[in-house]
Amino acid sequence: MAQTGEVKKDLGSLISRGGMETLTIGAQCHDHVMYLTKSPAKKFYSDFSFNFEMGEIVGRYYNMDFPAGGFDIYDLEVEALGGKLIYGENSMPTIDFRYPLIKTPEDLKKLKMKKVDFYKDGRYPTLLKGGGIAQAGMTMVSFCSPFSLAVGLMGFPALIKAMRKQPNFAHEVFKFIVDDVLTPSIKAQNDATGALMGIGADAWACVPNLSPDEMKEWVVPYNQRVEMNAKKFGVMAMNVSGDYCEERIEKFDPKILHASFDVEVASMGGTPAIFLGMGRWQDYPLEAVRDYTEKFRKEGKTVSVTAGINARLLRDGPVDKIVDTIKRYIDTFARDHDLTIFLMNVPYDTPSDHIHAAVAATHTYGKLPIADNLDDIKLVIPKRESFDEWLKTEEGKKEPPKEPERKGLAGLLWQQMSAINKSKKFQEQYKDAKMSFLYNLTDQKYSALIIIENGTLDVKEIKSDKETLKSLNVDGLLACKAELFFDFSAGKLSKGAALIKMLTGKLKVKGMKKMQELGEIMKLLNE
Amino acid sequence: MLTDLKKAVLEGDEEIAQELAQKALSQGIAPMAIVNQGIIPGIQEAGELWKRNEYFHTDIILCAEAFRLAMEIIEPKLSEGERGTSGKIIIGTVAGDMHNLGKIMVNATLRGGGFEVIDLGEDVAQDMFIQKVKELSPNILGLGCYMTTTMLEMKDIINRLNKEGLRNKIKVMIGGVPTSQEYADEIGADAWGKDAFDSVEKAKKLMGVS
Repeated sequence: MAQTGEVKKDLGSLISRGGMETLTIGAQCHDHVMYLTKSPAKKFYSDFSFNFEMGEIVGRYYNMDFPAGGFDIYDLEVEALGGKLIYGENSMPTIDFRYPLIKTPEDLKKLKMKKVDFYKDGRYPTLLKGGGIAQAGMTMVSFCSPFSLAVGLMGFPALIKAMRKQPNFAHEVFKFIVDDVLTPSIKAQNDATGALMGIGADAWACVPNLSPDEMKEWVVPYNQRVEMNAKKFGVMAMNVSGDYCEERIEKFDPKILHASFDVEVASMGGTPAIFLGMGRWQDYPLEAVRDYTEKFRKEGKTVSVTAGINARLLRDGPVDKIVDTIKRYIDTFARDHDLTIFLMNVPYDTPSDHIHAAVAATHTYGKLPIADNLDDIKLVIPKRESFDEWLKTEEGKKEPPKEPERKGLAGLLWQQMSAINKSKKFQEQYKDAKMSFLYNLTDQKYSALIIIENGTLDVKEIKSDKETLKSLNVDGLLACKAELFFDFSAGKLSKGAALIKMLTGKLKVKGMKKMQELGEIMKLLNE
Repeated sequence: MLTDLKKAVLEGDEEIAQELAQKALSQGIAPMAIVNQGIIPGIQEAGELWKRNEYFHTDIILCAEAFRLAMEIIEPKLSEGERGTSGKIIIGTVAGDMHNLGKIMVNATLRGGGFEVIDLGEDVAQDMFIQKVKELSPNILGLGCYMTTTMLEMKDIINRLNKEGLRNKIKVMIGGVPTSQEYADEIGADAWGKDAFDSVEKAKKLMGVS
């Protein structure tokens, strides 16, 4: 943020907090969490509070930087619309593609007439109660991106056929998805949890399912439409589309890779953030990625790289290759990119030793600042007890830390600012200080109150009603709509434009000097 | 005309492919010639374009659909000896798994490779696989999945084949996003198909046909 350090808005950056001592590692891990915790599939995928709790426990077992977990993000909307899901005894629910909701334009018309309530239908009540995705340590909006949702509603072959032979019909389907399904479902989550950021999952929109040109025609415009619609009520909704998943290494093509990165960047609101997802990254040449990010680096931009460890490699091993892949990622990117390691869709019965090795490698080779020569670092992978044995230890028996609820902006700011409490310099310099700041998002239910007292920073959620806000006596204030806040915080607003917004009352700033001091405090995160 | 048929299959133009297949039959062209000189070359060329990164799944799916519909017209006219010359394969997606994208493509490439393919569909129970193996005596059983939980079914099916004394009578191939050669080795499958075109090559290798 201009005042407090930029709000980071891509998945990798969201889970890579400032002020950490090492690079961070997270995981999409729901099947494996279900396996380790011996959770019944039906409960695990129907009670999201339970799901998140299990993910938190497993995340602690593996010493990950964030709760492990996730859920079947691809079928919630379809289910709410009345689509049939198959609930397996030991597996996550899956859409029954034999009975697609949309086969013809008439089906689309009928579906448009259907009243769907994203507060009540399907499993939305439990999602809203669970508070959204907790994988980034804060509430987030979760949704299935337009292309993958179109697949869920029609099936891949029928959708492709429509795109080629009935393009008007296909476009109508996509518009329906964005305007009548995703926009209200994102709004419902924003209302219920205060979440301001959303990440759409889009595994179907990848190479080689689609060519980059097809993605530019059919994926990017509708992702941008979601982003635009959600921005109107203050949510930044981005989509993880364009993953490069070529299976045959001999077919690896840097041009196609770069074109798929273009799709990724365009789907992330233009943020230079790339996702090395489900592909064979243990075998692909990483130089091709650096070649792509060079243009951003030349402009002085930091590129966020979320580097995935392939699911099959995680399950099958060997450990040496898992470790080597992480080491290679760190050596290639960590010194001049914003790198986060991410374990992709960890398979159900992945040996725990493989995950322990990945975490150890990330935290050892990823110790900040990154060493000049990683070969000089000795990696020791700790011998760990099984999950069941760990549960009997003091650590395993511990109740999960009960953090105060921080809805909306408070959670987002806490996620990115809390690490300042580890800074000795901050603790020393501000041991006697007492100051508070109000970030009032005028179009949101919740605002954020930042309190610095006795060398500690805290962020609290504050209801955005007049009476509550009036009762606060703060040293610094920033008040505007969420959309403007994100533009302002990302430095997208020039000084002149900010002045005009202030003169027209769209942006209120009080206690400018104190606000600047807060900015100085946040700079300590980078020391 | 067979060149046009090949083009229609290659370009995934199912209506034209069907129409030309019908026309070729009515002009007295031998069914096997229509298959070998019109329909199969279409899907074979799609495979080449796939390998050269000129075709993506979208193209292959449409091509597979045109192939299927053209074959629907010709297949009833083929004599017994002209069908499935490379072997007989039963394929299906295992229980709990509804994904069929890979299977649609594999179905077409296998048939294009001269196999008789019996597709049991999706969410196929273990008992159904076993029953069909007993009933139809295929050369190969092909198992597909998309989820890391459902892939475990494959191991159970192979164990069932062993228990029922069927395992040494057939080859087992597996495929699908979460599977790998390592997993195929681990559960005792005979081959792993990394994609639809790899699958037909592996199946032919298992059958000793080129």
